[in-house]
Amino acid sequence: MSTTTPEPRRDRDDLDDFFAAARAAPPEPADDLLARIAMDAETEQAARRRPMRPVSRLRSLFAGWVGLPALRGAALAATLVAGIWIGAAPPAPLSATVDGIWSAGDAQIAGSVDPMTAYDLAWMGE
Amino acid sequence: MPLDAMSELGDEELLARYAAGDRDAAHALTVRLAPRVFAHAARLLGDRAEAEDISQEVMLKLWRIAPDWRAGEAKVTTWLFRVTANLCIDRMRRRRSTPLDAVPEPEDGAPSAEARLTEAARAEALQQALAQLPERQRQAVVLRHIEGLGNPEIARIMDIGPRAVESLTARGKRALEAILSGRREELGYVDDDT
Repeated sequence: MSTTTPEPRRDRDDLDDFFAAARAAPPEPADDLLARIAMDAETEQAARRRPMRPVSRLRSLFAGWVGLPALRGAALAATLVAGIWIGAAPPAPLSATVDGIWSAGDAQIAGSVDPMTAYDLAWMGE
Repeated sequence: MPLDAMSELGDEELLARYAAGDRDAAHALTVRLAPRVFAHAARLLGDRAEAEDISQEVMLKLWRIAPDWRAGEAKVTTWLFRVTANLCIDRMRRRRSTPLDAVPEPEDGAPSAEARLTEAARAEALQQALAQLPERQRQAVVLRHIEGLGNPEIARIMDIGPRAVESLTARGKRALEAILSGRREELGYVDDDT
């Protein structure tokens, strides 16, 4: 009668034990790491919310073209030309008003203008 | 929605809710996914401090990609494992060698103290052996045998074919067997076998 000796375990079985041990004790993250990650998540959410504020249709339209320096300069120039043109050759509805301004006497104009500015007052106070 | 209820939602649904501004979804995703990212990074790098850096970086990438996430194209975890591995491999190529901190104590309750110590020693020995494998073999072995993923998913993560995954895991396991065979006695196998 022969005695049976336990067959040595094969390395492959051993490896399964090692893998099982690794699965049973995974490296655990520290609480402060999780806190930092959660904080990042909220920061990113908040950053995305900021540009999502409702903007009026008119404002967004305006924002679209005033952002371009060239267009901004052209708009200023057009406004200047229109102002000169209205002063030199006013359209009929405005002509009476423009004539009134030009024909007013110096005294009348002087009476409507305060020559003392805030800048002057500040100097006087010293 | 309470956090308990969030646990029933899939990763993609949670990510969509996060992208829509749901703060609870952010916490649920952090609790669910960050430990897996950290564990994977720690196993690939063998260094807790570096694994923490990588985990935070990977999760930040997830938060940023959330609004553009294309549902149904890839699992969130597949994407996370892939980004984690890529960042880890970058680290490994310019790394300083710092050993993994002590393996955490297993939960109380199940085996005896001696068995737990043996198990912890085996986990630590495996970690040391993994550190000696080439990067791609290590990644494939960890994904297959510790994370428990199937070859098709590993192939997507590693951007290789399933046959290449099989080859990497087989070579990795042979290398691990060779490394660990010299430590059988100290890891309790002599007592088990005799």
